[in-house]
Amino acid sequence: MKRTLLLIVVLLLLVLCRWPWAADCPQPLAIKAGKIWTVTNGVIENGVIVITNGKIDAVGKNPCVPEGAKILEMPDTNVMPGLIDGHCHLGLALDILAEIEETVSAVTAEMQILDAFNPAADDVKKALRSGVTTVLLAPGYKNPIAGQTAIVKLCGARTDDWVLRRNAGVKFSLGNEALMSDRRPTSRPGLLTLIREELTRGKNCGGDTFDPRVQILKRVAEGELPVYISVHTVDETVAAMQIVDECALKATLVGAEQGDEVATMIAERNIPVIYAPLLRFSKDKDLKRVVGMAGAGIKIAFASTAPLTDLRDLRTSAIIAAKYGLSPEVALKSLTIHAAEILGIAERVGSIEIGKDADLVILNGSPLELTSRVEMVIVNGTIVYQGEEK
Amino acid sequence: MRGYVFLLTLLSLSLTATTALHGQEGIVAIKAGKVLTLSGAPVTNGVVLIENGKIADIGTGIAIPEGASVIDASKSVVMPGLVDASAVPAVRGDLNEQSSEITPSFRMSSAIDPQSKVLKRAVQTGLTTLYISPGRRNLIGGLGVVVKPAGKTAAEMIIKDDAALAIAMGSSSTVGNRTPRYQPPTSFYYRRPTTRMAVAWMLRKSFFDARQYAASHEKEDPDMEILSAALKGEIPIRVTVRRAIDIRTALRIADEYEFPLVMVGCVEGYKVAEEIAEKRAPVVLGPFYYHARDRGRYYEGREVNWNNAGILVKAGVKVALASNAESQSDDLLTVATVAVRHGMPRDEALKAITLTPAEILGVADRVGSLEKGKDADILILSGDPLVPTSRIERVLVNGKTVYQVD
Repeated sequence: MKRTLLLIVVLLLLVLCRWPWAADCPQPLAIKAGKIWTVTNGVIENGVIVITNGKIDAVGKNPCVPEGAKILEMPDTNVMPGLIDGHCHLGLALDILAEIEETVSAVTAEMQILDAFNPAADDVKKALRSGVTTVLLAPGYKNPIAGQTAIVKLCGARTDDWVLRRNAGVKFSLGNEALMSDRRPTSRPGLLTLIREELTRGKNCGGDTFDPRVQILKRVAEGELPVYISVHTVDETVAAMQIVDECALKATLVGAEQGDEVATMIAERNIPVIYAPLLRFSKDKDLKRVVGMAGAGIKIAFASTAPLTDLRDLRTSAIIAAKYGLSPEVALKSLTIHAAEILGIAERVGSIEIGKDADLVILNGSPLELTSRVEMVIVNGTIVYQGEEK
Repeated sequence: MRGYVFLLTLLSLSLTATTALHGQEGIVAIKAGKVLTLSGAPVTNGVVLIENGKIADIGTGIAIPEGASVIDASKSVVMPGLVDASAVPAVRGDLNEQSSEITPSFRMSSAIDPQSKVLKRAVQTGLTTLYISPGRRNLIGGLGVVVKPAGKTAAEMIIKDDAALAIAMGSSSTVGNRTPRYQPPTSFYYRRPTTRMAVAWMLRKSFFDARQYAASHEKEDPDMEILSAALKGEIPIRVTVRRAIDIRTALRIADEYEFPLVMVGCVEGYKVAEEIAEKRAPVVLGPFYYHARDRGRYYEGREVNWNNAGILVKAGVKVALASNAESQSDDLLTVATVAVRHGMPRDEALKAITLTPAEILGVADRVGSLEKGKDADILILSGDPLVPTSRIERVLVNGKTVYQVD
């Protein structure tokens, strides 16, 4: 009798323990693909990826697939990690593109781009269809210190689902776009002086400041918050590096269309580059410059700056760079793991590894072929896009 | 012939004068075919007894005291007067002090015009309580006021001053602000915000400053006094938002500074219904246009979704239906009828134009339902309120007839 009671109690406990787990956990997913580009561990032919709870649970030739898993048989496909866009303005063009430019005053470090982001925008869906799953959202180019960036995934119904970093660093702009005819700065020297002044103010303020703008600048000047400095020409790039040297900033260059001219300088300082080729405005030959920068040892990621350019340009950029001599391995990494490392989110995304988020792009050919098409996109283990049947 | 007409007019005038006088002093009794109390079950063939402008009793079998003036509504439906939680403003002049962006101490009560034609129309459509809000041109517009459409002076009309602090998010407050370009910044419209980023930041900054002020011992800044009172929950905060993204931002800022908020507009509320329900934020929906495409000015809010109210109610959100200061949609009975047609439960729709807005405005102790002790603001209709052919026969405010069809 006692034994039966004990058995019942144990059974009840088991059911109680197991029940919430079973309710919360979605059905596991197993993808059998022709080629798995793990990025960090080479290519697995005819492999399987197992996804549970939105995370990658197993990868390999023949991993253990849990019972009851939904199995996707796709023997002709290539799987790669979701693409990462290092710098863009998706979901920010609501009524007017000016949502990213608050130009009444030149220094707006306190602005948060996340407040203007619309996850349901059409261009966000377009981005997902092209295989981009994670992006850095940035304010515009017209303010020398433009505001706080954010890193988000392009899917998820609720705010907490898609925000990876609410304040991912501060955007600086050293280009000529930041000059205006009727507010400070109007000249390049004025621009650099303004930035130096603001950083000095941040550095010199005591710990007890109440001004949120100064607080942000203080964290920047102390090297705690990264900065993304938008530059285009050689002189802008050099000026950016001078400021980085003076203030010991944790910096990343954005744009850097002529960065190869000063590639050794950038490489010496270990500054990564988020290259924005702006394909619509330049020739594809310009992507040769990436080869020079990568050759000097600079870590490269690509940026689409969408919607200023087309988002399909992201993968295309890497492919064209490969055409001019960037090694295919680096080209692939620049779209995924290198971008994740530069943005500081490599523990979550950027490669197909056990424990990382299941953000996958499934193509009908090699990721580095222009002819390959995106057939399916998975974010956090959920299929968010599926191309039509052939 | 002319003399005959004159006599008739005189007669009718004296008649109305006597009934009005009579009602003012004595007791009024309404014999009602059906009473929709809204706080309880409907009463059939009942009596509503009014004494000194308040409801003295409701029910069946109530003895009508001698000398009481009796209103025979035995074939009609009696319900509480409608409450518009965001009414067409009966004021003179601009709805915002546009020379600066943040004007918490701007009081709408100082601008009320008791002779406004808006009030006349309000009464004719059955409204007996109106919330009049500052405009949407300023980020923090100021303080709204709750009034009744009866009284010779503003003081007689007001039932709650400083009723809520009005904030406008989205593009409402950025419209008209410009960035300096090509010419020196001489106009006061050269100012923030011009983007959503700046809208969010300026709100955060204002509340941040208000907290600092509350912690300090200064007691001189009237704007800061109001902001810090609002942060403490002493004055409700009403935020006008239309897009889902702005609704999310509003909820986030409310979380950061820990204040409860009421959301007004909410055209895209159905997209984030669950998040609104979770934060327990009441919603004042509107305006409901019948020809939304004509509203070029309100580009943001053109996507009027009639299902919105039903979806929000199902998600568990407290919903009021309002005109939101647009005279095209101030016929709340019709708005409620169409909301029911598109999925709002009937009881909720009736409450959404009476008791719920009264609760949101904090005046439910006086108006919004027919209960003992509440103000006698009463509608008498020829039939069910949610049937388009029903007609408003008589409107009483504080027990006095203010509108009556012949």
